Amino acid sequence: MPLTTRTIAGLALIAATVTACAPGAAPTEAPDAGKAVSSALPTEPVTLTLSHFEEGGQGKAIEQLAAKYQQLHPNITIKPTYTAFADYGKNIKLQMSSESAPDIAQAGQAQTMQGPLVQAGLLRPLDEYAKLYGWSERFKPGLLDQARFSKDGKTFGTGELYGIALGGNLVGIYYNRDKLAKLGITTPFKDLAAFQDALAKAKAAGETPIQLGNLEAWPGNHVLSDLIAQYEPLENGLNWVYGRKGATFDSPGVQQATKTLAEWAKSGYIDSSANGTSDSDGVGKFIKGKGVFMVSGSWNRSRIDENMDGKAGFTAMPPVKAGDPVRATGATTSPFSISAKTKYPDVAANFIDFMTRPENAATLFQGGYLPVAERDAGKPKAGSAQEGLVEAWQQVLADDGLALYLDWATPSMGDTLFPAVQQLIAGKTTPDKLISTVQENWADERGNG
Amino acid sequence: MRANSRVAYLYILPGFLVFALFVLVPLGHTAWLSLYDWDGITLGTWTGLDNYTEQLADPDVRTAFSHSMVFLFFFAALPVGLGLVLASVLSRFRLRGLGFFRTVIFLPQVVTAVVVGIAWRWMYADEGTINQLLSAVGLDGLARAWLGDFTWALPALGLVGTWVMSGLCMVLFLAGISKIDASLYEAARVDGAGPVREFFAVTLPGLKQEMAVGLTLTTIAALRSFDLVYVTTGGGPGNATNVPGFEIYKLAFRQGAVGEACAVAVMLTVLIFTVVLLITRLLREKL
Repeated sequence: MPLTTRTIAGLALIAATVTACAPGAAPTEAPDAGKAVSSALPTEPVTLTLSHFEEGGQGKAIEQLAAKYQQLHPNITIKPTYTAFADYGKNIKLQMSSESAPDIAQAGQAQTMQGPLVQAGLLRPLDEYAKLYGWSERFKPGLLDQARFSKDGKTFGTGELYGIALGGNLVGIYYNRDKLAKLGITTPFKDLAAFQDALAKAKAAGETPIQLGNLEAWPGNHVLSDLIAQYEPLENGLNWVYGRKGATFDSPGVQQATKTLAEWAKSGYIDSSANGTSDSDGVGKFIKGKGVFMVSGSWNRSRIDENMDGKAGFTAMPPVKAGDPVRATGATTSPFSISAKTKYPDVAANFIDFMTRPENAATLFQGGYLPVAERDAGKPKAGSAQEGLVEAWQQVLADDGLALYLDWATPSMGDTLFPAVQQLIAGKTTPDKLISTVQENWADERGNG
Repeated sequence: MRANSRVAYLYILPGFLVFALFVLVPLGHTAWLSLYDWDGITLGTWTGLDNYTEQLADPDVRTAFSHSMVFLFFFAALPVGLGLVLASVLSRFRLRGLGFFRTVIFLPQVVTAVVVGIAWRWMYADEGTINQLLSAVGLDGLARAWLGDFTWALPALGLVGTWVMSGLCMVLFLAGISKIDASLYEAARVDGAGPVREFFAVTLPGLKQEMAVGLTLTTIAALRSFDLVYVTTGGGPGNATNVPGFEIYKLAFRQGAVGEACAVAVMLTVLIFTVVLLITRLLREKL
C-alpha cells in the first residue's frame, strides 16, 4: 500500500505530540524560599518523616535519637523509615519528587544521589541553618564540603550545603593478630615498603597475604583507591573527584598506584579467587583465618570484631615516605538532607542539629559511627579492630587526609572503573588501559578534558 | 456478518483493555522516552535517534548482545535438545518412579530465579560443591572460582539456564509424545525401524508444535535474562557476563540515563520479536 495522505497526517500528528511534551519537570523553587530561618519550634503537633538506609547499630542509633527528641518535644514526632541500601538509591529520586516526599532523607554524596536531586531542585540549601546552629565550628570544613554542590548540580565540593552527616567511614588494613605474631610482623607499618615486605613474607610462608571478595567489583576498587591516596598528591585526587576542570586520572601517582596493584595481583598477594568471591564471603574467609590482611572499609568492622573477638586489628594504609601525613579512602556517611517540599524546614533542621549535638555523640558512637563532631564520644574495646579504626580515623582527620571515593566523580564512574579493576587483578588489562578508560569516561561526562 | 464481528470485538474488549493498559501503553512510553535525553527527574531534551546510534556504537552494549547469543545456545538450543532426548527415552521405557524423575527435573522451573542464582553462586565458589566434586575425582587442577573466571563465567551461567529450562522442555515434550498416535509407532516397528529411526520418523514430526512452544519460551528467557546475572555476577568479571537486560538496569537505575536505557530496551524488544517470529515461521513449515 502506498502512503496515503491519511497515514502521513497521522504520522505527523504522532511526531508533533511526541516532540511537544518532554518527560520530567523543570526545577521549582522551594515554596517558602527566602523566608528567614529560625530555631524556634512550633507548638502544634508536627510529624516529620525521615528516610534512611543505615543498618544494624547505626540504624538503631537514629531510632533512639528520634525517640529521645520526641521526649524533649512531645508535640513533634519523627518517623524514621528504613530501606535497604540496594533499593534506596534506585528509589530516592522517585521518592523525593513525589507528592509524599519524606521531610528528611539520607542522600549519598556527589553524583550517586545528591547531584541529581540538587539538579532537580528537590533539596533545600542548608547554609542559613549552618550559620544559625554553628555547624562549621562543629565539623571540620573538609567534612562539610563533601555535601556542597553548585546550584546547577554539576560540580560538588564547593557551593551550597545540602546535608549533614552523622559519622564517617574509612578504608584501611584489617589484620589477623595471630598470623602477624607467627610471621613476626609488627604494626603500624612505617611506610608502604614495610607493608609490601609483610605481604612478601606472608606469601613466602604459604599464607594468602590479602583476602579480597571482589565478585561485586567495587571492593577491589577500594584497594586501588587507598594506594592512589598514598602515591597521588591529595589535592589532585580531590580535584578529580570533585570534577574540577583540568584534573586528570592520567598522572604519575595514579599510574604508580595502579601498577602496584597489578603487581600485587601478579605476585599472588591477592586471593586468587577474589573475582569469584562475594564481598561478604571474602569477609567470612578472613574471619575463618584465610588471609593475613584484608583491605576493606569500616562497614565490615562490627562483623569482624564480633566474630574474631580481639584477634583482628586495623591500621591505616601507610604513606610512601615514613612520617608523611596519613591519608586514606574515606568520607562521611551519607548526609541527611531536607526536602524542598517539606512544610517544616525549621523543625527538620532542628532535628538534624539535634542528632549531631555533642550530648548525642555517645549514642552515635555506640551505634558504630566513626565520630565526626566530638573527639571524646566513648572508648572502643581494647585490642579490637574498632580501636585501631578509631585511632586511624582521628589521625586521618587531624592530617586532613580523607581522599573520598573515586566513583563519586561521574554517574557512570562505578560501572566503568569497577569492572576495569576486576580485569586488572586478573591480568586482563594493563594499568595504562585502565587509566585511559577511566579518564575517557570522566572527560565525556564532565564535558571537559 | 459485520454485526457478528462487532460482537466478537466486544468480547475481546475487556482483555484488550487490560493488555493495552499494562503492555501496549508502557511499551509506547518506553519507545517515546528512548527519543529523549532524560535523567529520570529533570526536564528531558529531545534527541531523536541519538540514543540508538550512541548505544549501537558502544562496544559494551554490543558485547552484551553477543552474550545473549551465547545464552540462546545454553537456555534454548541445549535444553530443547536435552528435553527431546530425555522425553523420548522416558516415554520408551516404563521406568519405576517416572513421576519422581519428572518432578525432580522440572523442579528448577518452580524455584524463584533469585534462589536459583544464590544457590549456584555458592556451588560455583572456590570452596563450593563443583570444585569439591572435581577434587573428589582427582581433577583439582580444573578447580577455580568459576564466576570470577573471564573464560568460564559466561558458560557457567549458561549452564544454570540449561538446568532450569531442560525440565520445562522435557515435560512439554512428554505431553506431546503421549498425544502421538500409538499406531504410528507400531507401523514404524513393523517396518523395522530402530529407536533412532523411530525418533526421527515419528516422534520429531509429531512434536513440531511443542517444539515451537518450547523454543519460544526458552528463547525469550535467554534474551531477556536479568535476574540470574543480577544475583550472581553483576555482569562481571569485567563485562564478561553482561547482558542487555542488565545493561538496561545499569543505565536506568545506576547511571540515571533513562533515555539510553529505553533505547536498549526497545532494541532488545525488537530482537526478541524477530527471533520468535523466525521460530514460529520455521516450525510452521514441514520439518
